[in-house]
This record gives sequence, C-alpha cells and structure tokens, in this order.
Amino acid sequence: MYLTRYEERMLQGEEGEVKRKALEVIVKIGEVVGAERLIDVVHAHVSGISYFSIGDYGLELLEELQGSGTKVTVFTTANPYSLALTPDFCKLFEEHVIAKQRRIVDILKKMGVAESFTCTPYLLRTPKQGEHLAWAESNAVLYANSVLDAYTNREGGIVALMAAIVGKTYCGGMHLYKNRIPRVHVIVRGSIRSRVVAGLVGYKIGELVKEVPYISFTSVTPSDLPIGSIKQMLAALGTSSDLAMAVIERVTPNYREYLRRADLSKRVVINVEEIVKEPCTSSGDVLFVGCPHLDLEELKELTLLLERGLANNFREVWVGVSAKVFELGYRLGLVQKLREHGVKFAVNACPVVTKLDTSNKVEIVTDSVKAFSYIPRISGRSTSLLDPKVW
Amino acid sequence: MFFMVKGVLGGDVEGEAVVTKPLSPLGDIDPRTGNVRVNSEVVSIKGKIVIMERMKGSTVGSYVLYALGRRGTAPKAIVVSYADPVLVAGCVLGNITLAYGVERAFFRYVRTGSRVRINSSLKRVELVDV
Repeated sequence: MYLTRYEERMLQGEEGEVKRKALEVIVKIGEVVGAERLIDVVHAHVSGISYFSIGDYGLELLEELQGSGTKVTVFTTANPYSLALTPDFCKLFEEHVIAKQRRIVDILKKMGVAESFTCTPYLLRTPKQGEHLAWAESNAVLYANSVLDAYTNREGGIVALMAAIVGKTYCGGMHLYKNRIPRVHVIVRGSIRSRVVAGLVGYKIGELVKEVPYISFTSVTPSDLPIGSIKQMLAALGTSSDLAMAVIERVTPNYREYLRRADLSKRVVINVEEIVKEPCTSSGDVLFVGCPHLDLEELKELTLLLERGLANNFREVWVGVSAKVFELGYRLGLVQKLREHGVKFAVNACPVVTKLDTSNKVEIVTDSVKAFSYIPRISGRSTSLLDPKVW
Repeated sequence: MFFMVKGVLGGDVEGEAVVTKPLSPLGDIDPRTGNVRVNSEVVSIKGKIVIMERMKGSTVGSYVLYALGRRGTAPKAIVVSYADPVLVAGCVLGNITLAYGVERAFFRYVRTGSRVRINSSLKRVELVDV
C-alpha cells in the first residue's frame, strides 16, 4: 500500500503508540481488502458503544485509550447507548450496568466525541456530496451514500474509532466511484403507503440483492416519499444485507450520472402487495418508534398521531431521539405534549442495543422493520409491526 | 510441506496447531485462560497457532482478541482462508500474527498437534515435520 511520509511516520510511532496502533489496524484491513492507499475523512461515526454490545472487553480497550489521553482528530459522532443511562428507563437496570455504561460514554466524551449520541449522525452534521467519511452503523452509512452521495464504507465500530483517532481510513469499497455504480435494477411496483411498507420493501431488496441496486418506483415519485419512509427503507435494507449503498431514482443527488454508467440488464421486480404479509397490529403494550432516531418532522407527525387517539391504543410509548432533536422538540413544546400522552424518551439511547429484562411478557409494537428484526434477537422480547395504516 | 497464503500480517512464528471449527471469540474463547471449547473438549490456544476456515460471530470479536493479548493468553498466530475486518482488527490489537487466504489443501494435511511455521516473507505456512 502506498503511504505518504506523514502516514509512514505515524506508522513508525512518531505520533505516539495509540496512533501507531490505530493506523496499523486501518492499514492492515486495507491490505486484506486490496486498498492501494489511505484517504482522509472529515467525519467518523462510531458504533458499538452499548455496554450490552461491547461488554467488559470493549470497555477495557476504551479505558486503555483513555489512559493515554487519546483524542479524536476529526469531527466524530457515536451511536446511541443502551437505555441504562436514560432517566425514563434506568430503574430497569442493575447498578453495575449503569456504572459501566456511564464509563463508556464518559471516555468517548473525553476523547472529543460529540455530545449527541445518535444513529442519525447526518442530523448533527450533514455531509456534503462527495465527502469521505468513516461511518459505522448501517442505516447511517446507507443514508450517507444513497441520500447524500457522500462516500463511506460500512465500517466496523472499532475501525471507525481508529479512523477517528487518525483521521483516515483505507481507500477501498465505497470510496471508489467505480464501486458505487449500480449493478442491478430493482423495480418496485405498488404503493409505498407508509413507513412500515417502506421498511418491508427495503428488507426484501436486501434479501434479494447482493450488489449496489438502482431502485425505481412505478407508482410513486421517490422524491414524493417522505424522508421518514426512505430512512425506514434504508435501515431495513441494511438489516437484511451487507450493502452500503443504493442509488434511488430522483433521491440520490447524482442518480442520472450513476444510471448513465450502469449496466442494468439484471433486473428484480418487487410487488409491494406480495410482501406486506406480516401480521400487523395497531394496539398493544408498548409502541416503540425512533429506529432510526426520529428527526423533528417525524416528532411533529408522531405528536399529531398520538393526539388523535393512537396513545389510547398502547399502555406505553417509547421514542428514540438524539439530545439535539429532543432539545429542538422541547423548544417547540412537542416534548411536553408527548409526555402528557405518557411517552417515555430514549434520549441518546436505543432499545435495540439494550438487553431488556424478559421476565415480564411485554410485547413491543414498532414501525421499524429493523427494530422488529433485532429486538427479539437481542432481548428475546416478542415484537410486532405497527399496522401500515397507522403511520 | 508448505502452502501458500495471500498475506501475513505480523511476524514469523512457529508453534503447535489447534485445528478448530470457526470460532466466535465472544462465547467460545475465555480470555482469562485462553481456553476454547471445541465440541465438548476444552483446549488451550494460549501460545498455539489456531487454524480455522474463518472467524465468526459479532464485532465484539476484536475486543476479545485484544483482551487475550493483554492477558498473555493469546495464540501466537491465526491461520484462516478468509479474514474479515473484525478478525484483522483483533489480531493487530492483540499482537497476534494473522495468515489469511491459505490454500484449501492445507486443511487436509494439518492436524491438531502439527508443528506449523509461518513465513511472512515467502507468504506461506509450513508443516515442519511433513
């Protein structure tokens, strides 16, 4: 691999042991995947910061990094943490779990990671088209590549952290234009009438397609799809596949250029009516929304839905948001209204990365196909999809 | 007898092979002891050369390999057909030599207990006594 003089020096330890190790991780992964050089990134996004995900060994590595006073060298954000630190949920967790989760968050903050912990880092700093990033968290990676046409691989949590420390990652995969050109045409037939349907479509695409797809719709103009539905579609696509990008007609900024270069003789047709078969419900114990974290528009829509009676169908409503969106919502009075309807907020946190106590048989209902897929696997909780007619 | 690999990350080492099914570090490996449960048997990989098709399991695998390195219970090397970023990161953080992309025939000849040498400059793994 070609390294600049500065990178060589860093690899020889002239910038300190931590940077040497961090760069070594990136260079070696680059060697294995055949990258020819490194690339500077402007924004790193770290995943795997829930104590339930990384456990004592992850905490141990973070403590070692912290011990040597390591700081990130580029703008860095991190994923939501577990519910153990949130006032509305912390009573559910043992003291030692809360303490260890706090330790992880404190270390990241000391390293210079942004205060809002979210799986929607593009709401904290929106990447520009063509910018190179080192993001972990599949839904955010798909959003960055597909909706913003920024360039990032689907990094592992630890690689993103190392990239944050050195400000670089290996230049391969989605960082190269040729790998971003779609190779299969996915034609979606039927109406994407709700977030749940968008999620099911995304999940199906991920099951069927192994290369960057070009997605077009026959009965809806994608630019008319609410961004919330596109978020749901991409999050689900990232759940059922390893894909880092989809070119979406009229959504991806550069879609015409990608289309011009693509050979789309391979085609997959998805009939929406055939895939919306999961049993869905419009009532239950707990309604969970905010996977991915809600933006302000979605928070407004939810407030309206709850005020119109949705709140009566559930015993509790859980909402995942970043601290930034929570504060904006507070200023607009939305948070207060939502609290009146019994909403519990997972601020900077997420139930999907939390091992929930399974002793009480609470069933979770969600609008997110990603959460629907992960919560039973991580928590063993029974989970249902929200009726598409609702949202 | 020797077998080619695509690449070696780390230095040359020689040691005793432990041939195993794909391990999931979190759950299969105990970092305090370096012990691994292979089928119903407990085997130590401390100071050994672990031979497997690939690693599997969650991204926490990197952290477990790092923990092995810190406790001095890590294997000397890991030889795989396929290396993913979780394994590569873990080997760098745990100071474990990684040989990846080994020829398939290697798995027909190597046995637990075989003496194995990893030669990084010639990009090959050698069965010392064969």
